[in-house]
Amino acid sequence: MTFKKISLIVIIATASLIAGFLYHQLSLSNNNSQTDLLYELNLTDSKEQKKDLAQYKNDWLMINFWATWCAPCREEIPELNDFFKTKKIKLIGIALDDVDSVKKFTKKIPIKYPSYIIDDINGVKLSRSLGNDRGVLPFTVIINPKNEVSQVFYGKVKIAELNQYLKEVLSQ
Amino acid sequence: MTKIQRFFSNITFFAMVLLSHLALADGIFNSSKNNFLPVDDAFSIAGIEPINTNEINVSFKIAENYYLYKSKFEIISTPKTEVTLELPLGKTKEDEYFGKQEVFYKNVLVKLKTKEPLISYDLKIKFQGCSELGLCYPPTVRKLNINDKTKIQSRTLDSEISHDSNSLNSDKFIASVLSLFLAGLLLSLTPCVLPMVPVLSAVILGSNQSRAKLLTITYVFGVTSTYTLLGIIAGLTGNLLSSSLQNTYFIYMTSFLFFIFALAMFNVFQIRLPSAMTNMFNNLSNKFNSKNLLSTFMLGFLSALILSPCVAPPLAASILYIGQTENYIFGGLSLFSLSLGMSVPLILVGFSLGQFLPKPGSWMDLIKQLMGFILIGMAIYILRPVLNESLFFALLAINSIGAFLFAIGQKKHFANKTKGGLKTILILLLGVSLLFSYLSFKSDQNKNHYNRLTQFQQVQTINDLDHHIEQAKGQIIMIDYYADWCVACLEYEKYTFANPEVMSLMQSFHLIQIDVTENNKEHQKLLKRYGLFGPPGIIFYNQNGEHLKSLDIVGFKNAKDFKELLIKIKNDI
Repeated sequence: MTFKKISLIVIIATASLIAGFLYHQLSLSNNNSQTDLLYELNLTDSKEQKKDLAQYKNDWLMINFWATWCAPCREEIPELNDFFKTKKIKLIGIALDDVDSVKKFTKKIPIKYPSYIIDDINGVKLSRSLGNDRGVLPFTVIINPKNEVSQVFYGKVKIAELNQYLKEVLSQ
Repeated sequence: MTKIQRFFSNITFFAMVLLSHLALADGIFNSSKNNFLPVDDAFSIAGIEPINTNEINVSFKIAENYYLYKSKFEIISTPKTEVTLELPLGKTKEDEYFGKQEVFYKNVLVKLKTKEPLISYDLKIKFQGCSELGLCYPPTVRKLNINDKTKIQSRTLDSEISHDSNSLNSDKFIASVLSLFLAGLLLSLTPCVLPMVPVLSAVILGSNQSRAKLLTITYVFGVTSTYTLLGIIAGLTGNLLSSSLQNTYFIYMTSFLFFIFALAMFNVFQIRLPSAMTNMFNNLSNKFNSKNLLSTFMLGFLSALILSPCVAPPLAASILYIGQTENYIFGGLSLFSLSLGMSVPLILVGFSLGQFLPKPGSWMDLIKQLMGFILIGMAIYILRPVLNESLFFALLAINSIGAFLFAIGQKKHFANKTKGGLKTILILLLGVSLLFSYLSFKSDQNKNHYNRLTQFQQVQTINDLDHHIEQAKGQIIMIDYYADWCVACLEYEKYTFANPEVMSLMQSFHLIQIDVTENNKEHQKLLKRYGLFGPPGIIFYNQNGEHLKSLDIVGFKNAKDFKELLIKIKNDI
């Protein structure tokens, strides 16, 4: 084996190592592009006003995906209202529903935190982009100030669990 | 072979090596996924049956504990037409917000009727459902393929087992069988299979082409029969083994055995049949020297046993693996595909009347040694339950980097003609190493997602246990016997308790864990209390503080079964 060939192998190996390392770094930073779709959205809120979600960037944020046709989601709302009062973290609700159904629902059970409305198809897309790989509801996600998904909850959130988690991450 | 031919054969071969690795990696991935049913598994279209030109039946299969709302079924047709939907009477479900709702469990048959022939429309069905576990799925739209008169192949049949991470699911099944075929192909390129070539050449010598083909097939059939038989035996006897060896020591032992097999591939020593047996088979095969089909078959059958000195280690490794799956059909199929892969050069020789022969050379030794690295990889794979995910992939990465460096070291043995092939191997090994290193980093990254949120109260003495049971009256109690050295316990932690659905069900239970790792006298008393011989064991108490003896669990239960049991306990009480 000539010196030329050895050096060629070494160069190729180093190059691919560097490429692999960069790819790894890239895929890590992809974590925050996970939330790109979210912050680009302009959604209708419960007062039928369009709002940019970019306002929630760079801060802790908890999003609860729900719908009026989803019984466990409805059951969860009063608990989330109570949780919201403790002001531990910003909380918003996103309903995969139509405006009328949400209005009718909030007349019965008011939602204390800002809530937005999105259609099924885009709502599923959004929740999937935030880690809801099975497309289930309710689905709750916590996003950190680096705009990365930090925790997800499938189904109803156990408030005790949530508080425990927030205690750990927020104290850091 | 021309340069181009060689280039292509090299490429295909290395692509296969990579594929077999990917198949392995894929298996690793699947088992760590969460067990929530994807919507297509929760609600699947099991069949579409045309009744006449204007009418079809669509049958839905609904997973256990999942249901579909009757009022949410909808047909979307393009171009628009009137479609009548006929649905059976569902079960009534009380919904505090919408009032009484009709829902379907297990399965439902939807009848579609139109005025004009259905074939002229593009039909989609919309449905929506939830799960008893406190989950809903957004409305889902699926296309109905009615042009096709045949029943739609349903995914549901697979899904019943594919969510069970520990038994063989069909995907894993196919991946394993395929990987073994590729392993066989790899083996065929080692000096292992070569001794069979002259035997076969002798058989087909002087025959015309069609006769030669027939003889080759018969011979290969003989070879594969031997292996298939071995596989079936391995699958059957594995049954006897595994239940008594539910212990981490067994994992270490098997892993160590694989490591030994790997050393044999590096020529540290040789594993082969005792010479007395080889001689016996030799004498037998001499009797089958005539050129009729039966003799050729027997010759193939026997030469598989005699003429494979270095096939032994990977074969033994495969047999060990099959034994653990306790499935003789899988065993037979696996070794059949392994031997079929091995027989590819034989088929090539036979069909080309001996014109094509792979040129022996040091590249064959390299492949043999690379097989050794694959076996080390298997040894690491076996250790997976006792390793953390990140370390597991790190070890695999180190192993493939080792293979890479080893292959570089072999460069001087290569003639200029075969150097291209070596380069391809090197690049592939590098790729595999990078993949594993990446996974190693990534699994650390993911650690948060698999956080165990369930909290067990640790108990160490009988008095303590009684005290806990007394205090937890009014709650359902689950007592889990655990030990560090118990494989099934580790699997419970890793697969069953970590499952989000199980986790959320367990939240409402009072959870007690008894760690009997030390196995001291008090531990033995604690085990004896419920008549357990050892961990794992799970005991349930109802709200009145009564031990539900019929529901004692001894041994491993996967997330799906465990979840069902928890739901049953919750509903019954």
